[in-house]
Amino acid sequence: MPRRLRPRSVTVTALAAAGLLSAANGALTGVGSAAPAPADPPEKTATASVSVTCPFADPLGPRKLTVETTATLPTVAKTGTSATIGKYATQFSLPRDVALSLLPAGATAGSLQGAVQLALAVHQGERSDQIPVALTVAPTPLPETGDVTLTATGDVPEIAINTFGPVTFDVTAPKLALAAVPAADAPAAPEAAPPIACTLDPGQQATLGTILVQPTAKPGAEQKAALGSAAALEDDPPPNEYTVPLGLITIMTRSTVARLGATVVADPALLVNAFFTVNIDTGESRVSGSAVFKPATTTFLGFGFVPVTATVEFLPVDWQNSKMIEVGGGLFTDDEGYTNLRTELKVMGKLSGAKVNGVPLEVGPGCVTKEPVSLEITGRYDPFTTGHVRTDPEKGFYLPPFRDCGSGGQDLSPLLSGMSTGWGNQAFIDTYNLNGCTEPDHTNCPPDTLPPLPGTAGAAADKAVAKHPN
Amino acid sequence: MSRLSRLSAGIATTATAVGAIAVLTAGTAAAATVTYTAGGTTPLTYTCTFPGVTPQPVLVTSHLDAEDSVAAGGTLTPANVGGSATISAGVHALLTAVGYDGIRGTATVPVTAASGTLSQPAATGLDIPETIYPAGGPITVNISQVATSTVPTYTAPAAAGTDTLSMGTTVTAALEFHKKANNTWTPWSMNCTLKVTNPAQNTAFSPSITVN
Repeated sequence: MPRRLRPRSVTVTALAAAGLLSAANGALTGVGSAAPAPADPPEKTATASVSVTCPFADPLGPRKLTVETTATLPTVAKTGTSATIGKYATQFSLPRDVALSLLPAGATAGSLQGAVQLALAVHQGERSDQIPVALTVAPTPLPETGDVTLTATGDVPEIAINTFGPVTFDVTAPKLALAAVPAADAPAAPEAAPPIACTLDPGQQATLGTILVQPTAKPGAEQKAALGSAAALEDDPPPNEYTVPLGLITIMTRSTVARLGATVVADPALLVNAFFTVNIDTGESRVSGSAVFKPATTTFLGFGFVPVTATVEFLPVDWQNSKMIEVGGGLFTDDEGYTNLRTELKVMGKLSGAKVNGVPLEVGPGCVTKEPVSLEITGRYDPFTTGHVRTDPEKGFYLPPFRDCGSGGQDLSPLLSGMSTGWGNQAFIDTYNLNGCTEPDHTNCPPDTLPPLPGTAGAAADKAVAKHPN
Repeated sequence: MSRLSRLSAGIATTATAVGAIAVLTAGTAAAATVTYTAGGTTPLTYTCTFPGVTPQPVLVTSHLDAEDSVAAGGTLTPANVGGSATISAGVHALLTAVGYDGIRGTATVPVTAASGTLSQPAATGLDIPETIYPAGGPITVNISQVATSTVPTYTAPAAAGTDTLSMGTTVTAALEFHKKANNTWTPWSMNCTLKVTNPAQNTAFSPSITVN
């Protein structure tokens, strides 16, 4: 299923803010805690040297700098893991007159510090994206004579590898935000000057290094699900697959937040754009689709005694631009011969309409989890009848802290995060078929496989499960 | 009469008798039982409902045995009514993937007559025997008339000529799919609609019925 694309600047800004990175049009995705760590792949030291032009303010004017970058990166990586680019350092020589201009007026000695912002350009095939990298320049004294050499170091976010093939990383021109190190007894520093955005001089090689991404050997449908669309690029001839649209399926979701003792039950949603694909030769199969979940209001006791009502909404990672959550996974047969669905969902949790003890608490329009909630869901699934999938009963899922909650200068993120963040939460997803019917007399239509009506034995059992989900 | 004459007369008598018998036999041969087929050469494509997925194509053939002619206003009662439904390898793989490996049930196959009339619009209760299908390849489901089936009686029009039986546009089946994991059968009411094509599919049974 094609991923929705957005202007790159928006992507980078939004995802960087969330501690999440997306690269190469879905081929690489920055990860939070959910991505498996690499299994100590062999590393190499990579270097790149590029010439940039930095437009310093008059009378200094534009200056050419040579920026040397070093880092360690794995030579190979497996799909489904994450790659770490380590020991990232950028070094450049700042002309003495430029350095002196940053010191207090008239000073001929002192130290400089600051930040260097840049982006790593990631390329895989014809796809590309950028990973923002924030580096810090530690206080560096100016030498008695000559230019000053500054070194900026920092961490590059881990990069999840989803598609196999060579992945190339190019350095880009930095933004320099440098300033003099203030004296201990100096008054408060004036507002920092805007960073100097340098540009890469044309006609030069900016490649830092390449990681060869290899497919992870996984059994059965799990491998198919992991490879995703990339399989179509590798397989020759193309797989002998049969894809059919799924019928109308309604989804009932329920989740529990352990620390709140809250249960969030969403209104039924429909699975749309849903397809079932089976490989005729191997029997491997997978399902995919999208769903939109209505906001659900829940009531719980904050810190165990404060009655709180809040509206919870599950949104896609691209929550500012879409409400469609992509759902997909591989099918496999368990030891008892039953068909199971295994999938991983990434959703953002958004809070709104909070009331504490009946008093509205303005959490603002962008009160969301800092990073996506990663739901690893497995369970029996029968497209003929029903599917009941859920998170691991022991592990559950991790609810990340919230961000951007509050208004009028009141930051409620720590409060909400403190109340709810943690492991042990559970998510339950049930699917039911809505059978298509063209009978003029609806009583002749085949029955749907909807959940049992209230009051029936099945409903009572369902209620018991809801009460004691674990 | 010479012996030869008597012999010739005898031969003539015999020839006349044989000729008469031949005429009678010809009249009987006109009412011989033949097999009428629809979709025999090119199976008819119906679009059939399956659980959980959108309707899928199924290739259908049908046949019935009946006399090849009938007196005007007379009746024919078909026998050995049946046919086949072929499910593609893709749909079979789909069923296998979700744990189903067998089919059983009954089918209702509608039939129409161009000129004559039918005692009921469809052959009902046609048997789909319980069959387990190993994974791989297409599935051919056999449909046959059994003692509990009900087939329509055909009444020819009052005027002599020809008449044609045809398959109806909606075939239904009360099926059960076998769930391999727990050896249970899951009911499914399948509705099949004749796929609309250009040119239209030929649903007529062949040959035509001769109405004397």
